Amino acid sequence: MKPIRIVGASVLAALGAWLLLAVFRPPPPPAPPRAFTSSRECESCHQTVFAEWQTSWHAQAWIDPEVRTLSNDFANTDCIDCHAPRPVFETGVGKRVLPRETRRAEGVDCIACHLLPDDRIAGTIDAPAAACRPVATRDLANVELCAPCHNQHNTVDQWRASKYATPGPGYQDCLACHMPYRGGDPSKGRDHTMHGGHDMELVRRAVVLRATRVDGKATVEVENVGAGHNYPTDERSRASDLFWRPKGEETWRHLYRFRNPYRFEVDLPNTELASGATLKQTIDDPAAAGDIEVALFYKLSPYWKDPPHPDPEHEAFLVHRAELAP
Amino acid sequence: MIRRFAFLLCIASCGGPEQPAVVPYELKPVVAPQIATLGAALEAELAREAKPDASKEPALPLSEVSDLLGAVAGSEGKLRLAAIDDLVRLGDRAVPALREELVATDDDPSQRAVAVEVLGVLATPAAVDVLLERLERARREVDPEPWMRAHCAWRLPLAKADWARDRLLLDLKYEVDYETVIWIARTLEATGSLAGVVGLDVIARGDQPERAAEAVGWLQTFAEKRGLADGAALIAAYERGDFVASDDGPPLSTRAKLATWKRIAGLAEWQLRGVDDSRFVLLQSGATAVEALALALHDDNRYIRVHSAQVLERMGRRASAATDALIAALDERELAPQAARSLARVGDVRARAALARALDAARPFELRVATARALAELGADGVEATLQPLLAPETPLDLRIAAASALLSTRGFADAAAELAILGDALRADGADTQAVEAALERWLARAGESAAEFSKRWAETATDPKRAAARGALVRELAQRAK
Repeated sequence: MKPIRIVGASVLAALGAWLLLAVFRPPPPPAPPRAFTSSRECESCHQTVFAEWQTSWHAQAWIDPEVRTLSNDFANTDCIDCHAPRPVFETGVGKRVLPRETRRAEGVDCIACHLLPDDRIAGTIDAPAAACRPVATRDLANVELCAPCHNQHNTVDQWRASKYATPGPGYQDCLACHMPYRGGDPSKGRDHTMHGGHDMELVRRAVVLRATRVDGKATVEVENVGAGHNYPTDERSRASDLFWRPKGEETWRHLYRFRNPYRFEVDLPNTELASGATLKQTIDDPAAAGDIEVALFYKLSPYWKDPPHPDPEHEAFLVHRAELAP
Repeated sequence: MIRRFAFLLCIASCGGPEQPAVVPYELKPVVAPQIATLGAALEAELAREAKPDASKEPALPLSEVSDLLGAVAGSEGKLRLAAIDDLVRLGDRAVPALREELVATDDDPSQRAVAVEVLGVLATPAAVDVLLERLERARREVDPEPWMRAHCAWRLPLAKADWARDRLLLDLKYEVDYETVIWIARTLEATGSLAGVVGLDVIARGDQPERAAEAVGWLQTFAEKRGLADGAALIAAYERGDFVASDDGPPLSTRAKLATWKRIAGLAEWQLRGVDDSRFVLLQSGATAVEALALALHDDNRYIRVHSAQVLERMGRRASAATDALIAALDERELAPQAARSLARVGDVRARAALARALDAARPFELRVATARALAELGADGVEATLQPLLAPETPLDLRIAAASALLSTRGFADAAAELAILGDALRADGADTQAVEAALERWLARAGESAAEFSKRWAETATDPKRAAARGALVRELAQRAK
């Protein structure tokens, strides 16, 4: 036999053996069960996700100074349930979560959304040999996973009433806006930065501001074009204010406020703008007959430092601004 | 050899002292059957008391009742009493008209005050319901006449309608009018409940001097009635649980017991705001609520179990009658961590041994942390040996910190080097619950008293430091070095 044939036969035999082994090799043994005590244990394998989560407001849920002030350092204990929840899958998807004792400083963490009752991890693939033993769990993308906390302020109910909840081409759930695919590519997984009301770009996409003249009167419209829930939503502490001023003036004049008041503010109505709805306001002031500016601002806390003289440019974020000629 | 083996086998099969049988924690419907039973009992009571043909009597129009109210408002002495008696004799037929009168702001205010008075004297469930509804108005809309709420609280016939206390307690949570709060506190106290004293204390320290003086006066009166020196002593005694047995006053009516159980059912609501309302009312309730909450720890609804334990936690020493039920709850996986917290606040040292057993490595991590924290609060005397191994560096952070906090409770100011080193590092570590660490250190400093005076001063100075936890961590680390 020629040496080349011997080498060829050997290579073929080796390849065949490798193929046989690959096909018939028993699967790797399942990873041993482990009890997770901190989301930091996820970091070594899931660095990108962990880094994203660390910059998210979910990670700040317990330690954010504003939350601590508003909750009276969590003396308002009904805040703990959602700011340091036990795993959603422990109580059940769509059911209210319960407060946890441990790792409270981690806020709404990996364990809160991914830990299954049997100590395996809810993920997108089955991989029993991986250290965290992930199980493909469709409920991770279910709006009911977010509902235990985010429907405490009716946000999920607002979404249910919106056009985005209708099955079909226009259907968009929580993840579509708040956990989009990285770079729009499903193979890259979902962004765990959890953009929301602190992301001004997202807030800007939620509404449009239009200023026109109707019968000579300045008319301002705000339309909720992008949010699948009210604008603003969720927190009573969020507010969005519409201001105007004659061009050249420094002081803004208040026109309208979008906000769901605290329960003790019985003299205030809920003025949030529902998904798809439009608010129309006419500026009934002779000073509005000339060149004017109109602006929509967004606030993370509802109160102005000096309520009779609000200073939106320093105490709020600019969402949209428009100019109107006579 | 074989004989020796057989002997050993025989010894092994005999075993040591008999182990107690493990009885699984019983979960069953508790609240729903209680509500059903009490509901049926109430219906039977109402059927017994019902007057024949009462339902056929038509309600009186406001115009007719209004004349009588005017007559009361315009008269004095015996004539007035007789006119009130005329109105009361109309019974529940007058209630719809009296209800209308309460919001008829165009009428003479004195007439509305009389309507409140008549409803109070009438004291039927329908009449009391109208008074409570008026009291609750400020929760739904702007109330142009807050004085009416004060009147309703004053005239509420709680002695004849103990079931109304449940709703009155919720008013305490939301009421912003100081005069009304004072009247609610007085009405509650008149029937044995001191639930209003905390509200009076808030007013006493508030920004309305006249009302503050009034509140101080009433706290003093209530204290003297109970043989105590002043309001501060009264509040301390109330929070210690000295009056829990008398909080309910005379035996509660079926309707009042039903109201308590319905509040417990409210703990399972979806909205946490509603849950918090129920927790508040139950927290201010007396011995009947403690007993019911202890039973509810076995309910098959997890929210009822956990939130019932939370109420007992907030009751603190007033809930001492629930200690055994809470110790048993350490065996229920979902409830156990909260039960541990509750035991710490209830403060019965009998719980120490049970808590130490719950530190076992086989128990869930969440429970072990909660248990160590509970021991830190309750004091870990006698269970140090169980906690000591948990100080090892390989112990997960939360548990190690909690164990160090618990052991700290057994140490003097000069002999806590190991625990202080761990806690000092924890205050500077990422991911540690610094609030719990600070609380443990503050309890320890308070106990150390004078010997820790200098350190306590430095500790207090860091309170407003923007990087407080880190600053305090450095302080504690320094103290640990010195203790070494």
